[in-house]
Amino acid sequence: MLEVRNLTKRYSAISAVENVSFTIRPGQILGYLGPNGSGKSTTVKMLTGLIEPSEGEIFFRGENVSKNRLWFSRLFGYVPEEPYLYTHLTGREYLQLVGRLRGMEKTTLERKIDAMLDLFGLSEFRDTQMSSYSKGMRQKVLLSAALLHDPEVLILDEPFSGLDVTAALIVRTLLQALAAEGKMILYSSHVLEVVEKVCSEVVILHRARVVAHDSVARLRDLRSSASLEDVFAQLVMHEDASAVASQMIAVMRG
Amino acid sequence: MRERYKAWLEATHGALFELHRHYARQLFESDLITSADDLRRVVITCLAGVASIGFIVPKLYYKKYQYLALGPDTDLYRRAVYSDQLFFVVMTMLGIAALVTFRWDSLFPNREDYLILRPLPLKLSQIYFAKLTTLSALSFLVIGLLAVPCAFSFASVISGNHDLAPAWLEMAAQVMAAFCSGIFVVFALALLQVLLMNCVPLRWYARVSVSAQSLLLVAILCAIPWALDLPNAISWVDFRPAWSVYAPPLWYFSLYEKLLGRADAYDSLLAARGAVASLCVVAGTILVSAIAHQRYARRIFESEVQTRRSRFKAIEWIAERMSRDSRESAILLFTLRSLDRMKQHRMIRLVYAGVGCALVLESGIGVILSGALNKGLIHRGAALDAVFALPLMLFFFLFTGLRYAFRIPVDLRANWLFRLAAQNAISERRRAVRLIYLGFALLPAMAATAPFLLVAMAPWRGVYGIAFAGLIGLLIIEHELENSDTIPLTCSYLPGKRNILHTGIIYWFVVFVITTVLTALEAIGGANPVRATLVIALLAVLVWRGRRTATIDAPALRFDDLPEPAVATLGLAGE
Repeated sequence: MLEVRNLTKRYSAISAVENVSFTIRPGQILGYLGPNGSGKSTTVKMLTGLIEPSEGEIFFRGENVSKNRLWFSRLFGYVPEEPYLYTHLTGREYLQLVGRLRGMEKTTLERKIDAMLDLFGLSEFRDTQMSSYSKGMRQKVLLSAALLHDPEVLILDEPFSGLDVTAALIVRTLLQALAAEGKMILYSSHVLEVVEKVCSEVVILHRARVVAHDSVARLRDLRSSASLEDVFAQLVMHEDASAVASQMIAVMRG
Repeated sequence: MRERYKAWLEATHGALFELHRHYARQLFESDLITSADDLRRVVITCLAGVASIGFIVPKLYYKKYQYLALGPDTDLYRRAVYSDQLFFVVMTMLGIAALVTFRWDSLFPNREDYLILRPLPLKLSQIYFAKLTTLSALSFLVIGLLAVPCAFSFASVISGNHDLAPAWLEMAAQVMAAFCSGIFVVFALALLQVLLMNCVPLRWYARVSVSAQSLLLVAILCAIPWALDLPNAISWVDFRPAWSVYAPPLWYFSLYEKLLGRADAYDSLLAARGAVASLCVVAGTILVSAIAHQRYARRIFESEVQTRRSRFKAIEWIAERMSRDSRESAILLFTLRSLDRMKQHRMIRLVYAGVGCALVLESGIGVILSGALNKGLIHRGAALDAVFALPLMLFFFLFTGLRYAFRIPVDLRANWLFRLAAQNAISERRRAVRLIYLGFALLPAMAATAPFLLVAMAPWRGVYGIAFAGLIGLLIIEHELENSDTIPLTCSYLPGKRNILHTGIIYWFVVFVITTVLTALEAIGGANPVRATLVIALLAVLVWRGRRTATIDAPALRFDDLPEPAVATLGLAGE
């Protein structure tokens, strides 16, 4: 079980994340939602150890992660929000780098790389530098890199970004299958339709704080809403979308 | 005033002006020297630095010409002036060639330029030619800033008892020769690139272009020590061998003579050749570009999707077999591939390697020309020191080039991978970096200089010299491994964190210590085989101890650079 307790991140006086707590049990996909700047990616970065929390703790299987960061970093796979990778390497070389840094055995690694690239339809481009890959292709490489070492926890920050319909469908099904195998998945996203279909439970963040944490069905019931999008709109949207659109058109014409 | 200037710019300058301004900014933008908001300071510093060169001319030449002016020999005076003028022409050509070669990839728009600018209401030809004209304008500005103060200062220094020409004519001739030679260099290199872009098959272009750039850079750096000796060319400055017709510096020097009205028929021929050559390269570049710029835009997009197979296949194969585990091989291969493919890192290594090669060539040729070898094998004296210094000197530059390249991150945003998966790869990093220093600095330096040592000295002394340099190289590598705590190319880099003068003083002090003190020590050991054995044994022990210490006291890995304290030069860092 992955447990986050009162996680807080402050930059000077500004809180990027304030007192966030949640738990992910084996087999669970937790949706992590919020508008831009609400603190989703900051939470993810704290979970992965890329930034240190100002307060709060993360526990995995009852162990405090901050006391054994290396042990935890071997157990999770991570897909960052933006497809930042070494684009001067080919897709194959990048996956080799990731696998080897994770200490994977060479034969197994090569077999897995070939299979992953094939399954994601990238085998034709395996020896092409990633600088000429599209955003979706880079995202596929990142997803492959996160899955290579068969992690127990998956931390995914906008994993569908740039993926075509087929790939998105494959990844969605894959996430459900991985959850069925007992993996713990944190799924941070803006795309509410996918979250609604994939996640059993959601955390909604607004201005650095958790404003809702429950199962999708219960949230819909509580808010008497037909969809997660409506729930989200009630909790975090304080502007009238059509009024803003009209103002933008006025600005364009002016 | 500033607001009025801005308003005037906005009211009077269109898209093409903005395009040139955009390209001009690009020319000065480099992660190595500045951050984006510091651009104005860098531009002013660079240009002021170039302009100030002219103002040190009187300091350098005043005493020489004061002394020569006291003598009765007008011809000696004239030859001294000519030697210095030839020096100015050659240095202008080398300086401009270095500038253009450094900015080899900025001569014409790249893929990113087209991606950003093509959707805007600009013609393909505007995007294409604006880059070339911007670089040309910058080159002319640099030539002007270099040549005009130099010409003014030099003309005032040489006016005296043996006046050769009116000062204004002297100045005009020097500036004209500098401009024509600069134009020739800028457009000859641009023409070379245009021809490569359009004639070389697409799959070869990137490789050929990089090789051309590398060769040019090494050639320029190797030519600098030779050029610095030109003010001493008094004895042969009037001599015009048959190959002068193929030597561009002599064309423009003859142009200078022609403008002064002192050229003979052969000089006039060379001067005419220079003028025609300048016109031809300008016309050739514009003509070929006008015909081929649309094809170039097409090719640049196609070239980016070429399949990349590493040129380093054999080296990668060896590296994989030499690494003990998968993490070490990951760091090793990542570093090798990045050094091979990243232009910035390749350029850093090339510059250092070029300077090293230039110094080694100069020393080696100096030993040969000094006649030391004619007397049989070298046994003692400065020639022995010079030969002993060769491997160390080359190693030092190859090593520092790699060391500097390692500090520049490939892509900071992608570093999260190493932060997550290689935080504890301390010993793997050390072994991988050691292999790279050995394979790309120590071994090449030894291999390149060992034959000369074995030929120039008695065999035992040659072997001793190689072993000594090798062990000192190992000591330096171990010292570096002990004091560094970053995975190559993955740590952030703060440009300008240390005063450049401070860095320069430290750098040249280290060069002095390594090449002078160590070479002297080496010469002591080289007196007889017994001493040689003792010195080698002592160094071997030191290397062994160094490796042991590095293994025990390994620091934790760091991924963010720390700014040096502003008062580091005062030794107050710890206060």
